[in-house]
Amino acid sequence: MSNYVEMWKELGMDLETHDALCQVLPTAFGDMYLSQENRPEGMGFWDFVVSEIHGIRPSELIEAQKNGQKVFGTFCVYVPDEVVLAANGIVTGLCGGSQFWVPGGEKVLPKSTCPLIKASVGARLERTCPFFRIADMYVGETTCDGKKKAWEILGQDVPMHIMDMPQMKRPQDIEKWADEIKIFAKVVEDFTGNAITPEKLSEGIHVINERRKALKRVYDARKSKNIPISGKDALLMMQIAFFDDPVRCAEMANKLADELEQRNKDNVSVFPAGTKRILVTGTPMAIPNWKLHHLIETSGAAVVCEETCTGTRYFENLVDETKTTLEEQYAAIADRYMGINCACFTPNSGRVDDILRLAKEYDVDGVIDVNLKFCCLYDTEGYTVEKAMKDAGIPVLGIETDYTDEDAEQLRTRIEAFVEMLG
Amino acid sequence: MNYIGIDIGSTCAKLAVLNEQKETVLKLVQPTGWSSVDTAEEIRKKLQDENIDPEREACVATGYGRIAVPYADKMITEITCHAKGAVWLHDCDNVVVIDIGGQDTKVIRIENGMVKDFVMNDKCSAGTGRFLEVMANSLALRPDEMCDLAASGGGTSISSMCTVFAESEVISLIGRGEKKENIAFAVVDSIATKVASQAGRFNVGKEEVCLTGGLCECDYIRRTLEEKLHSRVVSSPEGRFAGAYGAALSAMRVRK
Amino acid sequence: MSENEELNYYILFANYTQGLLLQEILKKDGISARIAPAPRSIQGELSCGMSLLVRQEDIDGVRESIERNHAEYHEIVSLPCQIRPHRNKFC
Repeated sequence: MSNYVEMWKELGMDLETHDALCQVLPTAFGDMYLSQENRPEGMGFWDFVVSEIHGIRPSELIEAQKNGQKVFGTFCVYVPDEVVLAANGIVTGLCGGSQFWVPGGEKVLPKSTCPLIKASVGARLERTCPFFRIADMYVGETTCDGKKKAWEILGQDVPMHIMDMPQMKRPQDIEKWADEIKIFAKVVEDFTGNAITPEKLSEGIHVINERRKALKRVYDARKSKNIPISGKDALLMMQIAFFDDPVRCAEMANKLADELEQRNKDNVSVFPAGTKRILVTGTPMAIPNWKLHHLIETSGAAVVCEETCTGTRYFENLVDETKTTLEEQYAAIADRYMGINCACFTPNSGRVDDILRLAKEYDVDGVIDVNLKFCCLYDTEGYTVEKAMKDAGIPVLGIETDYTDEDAEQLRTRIEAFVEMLG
Repeated sequence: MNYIGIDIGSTCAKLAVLNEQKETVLKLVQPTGWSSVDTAEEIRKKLQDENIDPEREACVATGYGRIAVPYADKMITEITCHAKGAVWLHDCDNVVVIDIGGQDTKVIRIENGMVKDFVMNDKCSAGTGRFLEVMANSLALRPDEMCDLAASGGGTSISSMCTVFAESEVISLIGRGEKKENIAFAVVDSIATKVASQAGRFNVGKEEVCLTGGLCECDYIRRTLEEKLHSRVVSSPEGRFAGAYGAALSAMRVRK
Repeated sequence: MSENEELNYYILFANYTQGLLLQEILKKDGISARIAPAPRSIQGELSCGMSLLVRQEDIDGVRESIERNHAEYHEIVSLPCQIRPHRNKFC
């Protein structure tokens, strides 16, 4: 049996501080997750992962490292996992979703940085998260100013590769992104010592496409009139997808989808009939950020879809699997990733189209546009999003928040009032 | 059957009781104090003194202390209640309601008698009753006295939005020997500017605006808001009970 | 804390293999037990963070099933219900 404490010690973690985090998580998870009734049985897998969150997957990763595999830590859905897989590498998400890590980040970053960046930097520098210790190389991208500068600080502590994101989506920008992917592939090849061949890349593309399809199946089941799974549970599945082995992730998501599809046939719902259906759009919710979903789902509404990086942006659209040369494959990968609509692009009208389409597909009663405090991009785009919703006759509520507890009651009042407004 | 509406705000608790004919049977206002649970109990006693049994009548609680009223049949947010109350008080179905409350300020757009959209201030207390109260304190005035005094002042301004910084600005103005009415003017101007910018998102223009909440009794604030918003702002002497009336009206739909 | 507060039972394990095995056994016996992160206050020096959460009305059945199946576990701890959805304590 593995002894996690030994493992954490070997990883050079600050055990005492880490223990403080270990105290908060079970309580918060109990309040937010175990308080729910009639959850799908398939969620047992993710409950289990949470209960061993800093133990089970980290020990798998360390085992893989002993066998010569390299672990790449990423922070964004634009970084192509396929390429890493093709070189027999492993990808793990590294985004910080807890207030616990924020003060550590604030030691080196301006307070007016978004909590996701502050938490990520804090988790690394304070040595309180095993994933941040394990990753052999961090892969950053230039999606916002806060991240660009944070990479410079993290880069003093850990090997980093930065992918230069285009800011527009003209043909030359997509070509440039294909080039960036090639440069990244070369870095990965050198770092792992494994050459990427068309066959290996094709395998990588297939594995990640299968994960996308499985996650999408779960989402598709949420379109049903009954609500077979809470938004919180679906969010948890998405959050852990960033950390898990992609094949196992797909297997578990498919199993959950089987169960949800059966629930839809049997008209099983985890909310009373008539519960208002909410689409959440905006900034990502990294684990363990369950705050907004919890507030919504304890205020008389249900989240049925997330147009976020920890939602549809992660799995929508597949990479074309018919390409056979590396050149074509990189272009196909670039095409797929440039189909994601993030507020870092200008213009970004595709996102509004996505939200309108999802609002229809998931038959939502209202949209909640959430912004992580100090995310200038999504905050500014909020105007366009909210206007488009109003023009389409879809009620919308804009909310700005962070990882702290103190605004909970104020948010609850707003959300309850919004739900009352929906009728 | 009587219909009880209780609005427990951060500063004051308001009670309104309506009968079947929507006539006011009882209304009262009292400081919330430090415990909304105790306040709710005091209100229960006052109701019982008037031979109104809250357990038997329909009762709706609203305001930030709405969860502290154990005998309420239903809790409804202050947004919905203020909107309902304002529509009823002003007999107007299309209106923008501005409620300057103790710790938050709400702007609510109402179309055909229904809430269509709303904004609330964030954690910050700028533009709320609390801001006014703190400034009045440092001038050794009651909030209503300060508002009345503001009408005869002018010529100075406060630049800080933050209550703490604004208070030290006021103190340094006092230290410089600035006249009280001029400081009062600056305080009211600061609040009205903040509230108007919050309402700005709604392009208030054609619609009538009605001012509710504790500050609506001050005509000078109403006039200042009118100037800043370039639209007619109305208020009612009962405006501070808008939330409680809205709750009482909602209680008419509670089944007992 | 009121006197008739509901008790929750947490079954702790030396490792998660024991935990998952017992969950399977209980499932076969038709007893619901949910995987929960072990509250830190009762986890002690145990490195396994997984526990099984059992309701008061099910605990006798659980004990009986454990005995009958010779299932392994570390300890069963009862705690007043820890779950408060309106606590507003996030992570």
